[in-house]
Amino acid sequence: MRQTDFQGELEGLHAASFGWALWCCEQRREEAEEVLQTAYLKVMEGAARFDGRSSLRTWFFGVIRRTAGERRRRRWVRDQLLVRWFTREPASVPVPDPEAQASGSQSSRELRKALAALPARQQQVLHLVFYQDLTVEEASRVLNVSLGTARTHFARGKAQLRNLLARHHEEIA
Amino acid sequence: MTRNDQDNERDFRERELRARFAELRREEELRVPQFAFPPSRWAGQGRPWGTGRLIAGAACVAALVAAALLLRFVPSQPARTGQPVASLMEWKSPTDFLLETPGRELLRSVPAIGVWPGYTAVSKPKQKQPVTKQVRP
Repeated sequence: MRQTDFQGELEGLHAASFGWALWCCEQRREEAEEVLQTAYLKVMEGAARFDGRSSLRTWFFGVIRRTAGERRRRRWVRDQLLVRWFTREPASVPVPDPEAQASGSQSSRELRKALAALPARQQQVLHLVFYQDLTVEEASRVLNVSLGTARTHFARGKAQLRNLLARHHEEIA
Repeated sequence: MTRNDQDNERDFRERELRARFAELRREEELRVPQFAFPPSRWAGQGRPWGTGRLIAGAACVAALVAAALLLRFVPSQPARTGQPVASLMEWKSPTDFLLETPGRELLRSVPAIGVWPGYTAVSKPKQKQPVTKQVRP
């Protein structure tokens, strides 16, 4: 694939990639922007190479997931080992962007709140399938888990999400 | 409720979830930052001297200084006293005494029959009378 074609493909994926990065960073917008920039940098510098074994979307989402994971680990090390040792204060826990949380329709806010109550893996599978329109198999490749595991997370997450949304409706009624 | 009805309800619920996610996607797409490729160098990994690299560099320098100090102050060989070194034949192992176990002298000698060092007989044993055979006429 030529560099310009590749760049065009990535540009076409940009909105979806940002949505996925946002999800990998637990809705922290600034962090998601940095993760996406780092993922682009990896592609540009050749640290991440597309070998054509899967679709570009699946591969690039995998790069974003790994980059977010690396960033999370680096932050953990910095917070736990340095800040805690030197300042003797509890490490700061980053919170989701409040503006993003409050924005959008009632339905979206409900959905975000319900999703936040699910385990991370279930959130990610549901996001990839429902938000990104990937199949469960593609989602399993992005998350680097077996298809069976992805199916289990999907089924459990879906059932739990429905329950949470229904409970929320009952509370309102 | 038949199986068909259950499937229909499941499909309906899934469609509902998909619709909710689609709405969320439409809202979030409005707030997506502008695409920039090649990306700016400020992103985490692109920084030439990030905090992690700085710490790793400082740790390397500290390790080198510690190694240099150790090499400087710790002598590599024990100091010589000036005494001549004993020959191999005269040399004795410092743990040689451990081989001197109790009763070792008994193993060094061959025991002799009739001579029992340290044994004194209390009474002389009776001599046996020779049996003479009587021959009948």
